Amino acid sequence: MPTSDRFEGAKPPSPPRLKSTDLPKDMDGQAVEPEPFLSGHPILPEDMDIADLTQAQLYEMNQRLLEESMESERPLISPPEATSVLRNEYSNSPDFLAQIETLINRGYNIIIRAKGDGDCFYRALAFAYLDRLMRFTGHSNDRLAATTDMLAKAGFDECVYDQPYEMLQSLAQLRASRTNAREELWQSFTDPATSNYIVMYMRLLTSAQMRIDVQFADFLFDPESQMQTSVDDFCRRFVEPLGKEADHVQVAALAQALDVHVKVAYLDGHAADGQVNFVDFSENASHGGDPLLLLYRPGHYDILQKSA
Amino acid sequence: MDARLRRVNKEIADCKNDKSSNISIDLIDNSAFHLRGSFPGPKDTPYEGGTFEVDIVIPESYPFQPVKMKFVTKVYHPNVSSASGAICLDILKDAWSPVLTLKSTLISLQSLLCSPEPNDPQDAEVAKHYTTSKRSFEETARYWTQVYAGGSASRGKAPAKDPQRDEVAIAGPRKGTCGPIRGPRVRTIESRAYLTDSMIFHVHLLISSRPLSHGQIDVLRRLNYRGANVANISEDKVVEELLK
Repeated sequence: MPTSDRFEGAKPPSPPRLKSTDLPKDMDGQAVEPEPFLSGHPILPEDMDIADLTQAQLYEMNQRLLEESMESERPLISPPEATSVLRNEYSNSPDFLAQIETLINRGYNIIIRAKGDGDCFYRALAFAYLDRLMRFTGHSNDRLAATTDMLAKAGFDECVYDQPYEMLQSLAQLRASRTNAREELWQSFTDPATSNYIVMYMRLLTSAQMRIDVQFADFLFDPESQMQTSVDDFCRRFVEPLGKEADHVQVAALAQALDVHVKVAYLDGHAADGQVNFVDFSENASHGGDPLLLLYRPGHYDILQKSA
Repeated sequence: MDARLRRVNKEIADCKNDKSSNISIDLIDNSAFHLRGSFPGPKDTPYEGGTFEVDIVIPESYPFQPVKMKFVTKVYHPNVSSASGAICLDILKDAWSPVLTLKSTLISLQSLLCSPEPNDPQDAEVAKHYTTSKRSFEETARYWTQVYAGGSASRGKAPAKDPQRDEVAIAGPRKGTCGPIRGPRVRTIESRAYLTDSMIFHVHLLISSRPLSHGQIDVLRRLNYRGANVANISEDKVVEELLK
């Protein structure tokens, strides 16, 4: 298993700064310094409108988003860290801090970060899925083997999914008993050549589930226009291409396609008492055992684990 | 073998095995990442009877990023640059998905020939021609199909050779707004869409100092006598075509 000290030498380069020359000037002609967000998080809170922000705050938000988009040096899947590291990111936000304490107190001590590149949900879920397959020998790969039939049924060309499937299967054969199995899994997920094909396979499965299972049709809305859209249109534009973020409906579809219980912890700063909401997907999945745990923060998914 | 190469090889093989689609993909040098696709022009369109060749470049990040395609065969179509062959089609840009294949993308190009989108043009001048006079546009597209895509005149509708007919075809839908051109200062919106004033003036000096008729302007359109392409067409050729 990789240890965190291996990665300390590889600090990402500092991201570029936006020009601050366009910021409003005060009476003395000095640029107004942007005030930091109270939440310490660049994503706009739900109860705020972008029109309410001052120009300085908009600058701040842009800068944070730019920094996030520049995290090219960050691994696609990071080595495990203590959940307590999240405290540093929310030092100005008591509601978030209280929720982090709740998670730690309930034994959710480990976080494995996925890169924030729009594929984080799919990459995180695939990693959590394979990690569990690897560690618990009781699980079979039967369900995974059946997924190709599902993709064919959804109308995808075999040449589109056969190689991603092979890559996924070879990782699903990894067993924890083998030396360095977990290292190998982690290496595969940090190598874009493999990792992106795995993400693509997860996306195809999500799309196939939505195309085959009619119950999804009523819940597909264009995230840009908020208008209801067809299954085909939704899948083509918001599921199949890499880099398109997953919403609730994609999470539900992939949990069903893989027949796994997925549990998502919402770290959103919404509850003043530090309470954390957990949302279950496919709770009655036939894959027994503990659910796959994900940590959701507005706009981003990571993997959450209980310490062994 | 890397996954991209394996996928492309498989896609080429699939296309060869599928005789029903009429789509072909061939290697042009020894790389599987630079290909030449071709397909027949769709029936009941001005492109019928032609064979359209497409230059295909598979980027490093394929299939996560779109394949690069442009027409090698000159095509007269609002969504294809008449000069460079560049194509305006959403799936080749932001609407790409790794589910798409070389074959399905070429089929989409074929359908693009059936259903031009003049509101999202690649070639603004051709799009303008399409929206102002579809009939005249189709004649030019048909002529280009014959000249550049090897289409035979018997397969599609023959282009109007008779200047009289030509005149009618153009004058009809335009409701006479496009009068004869009397000199560089007297111009109409339509004619400017295809030829600059100086070019028209130049051509009209070339032949007889008489203003150009609609039919003659249309001949210049067919020859694509505009922009940088002017250098590729000899004056003799222009005069010969105009005086036919």
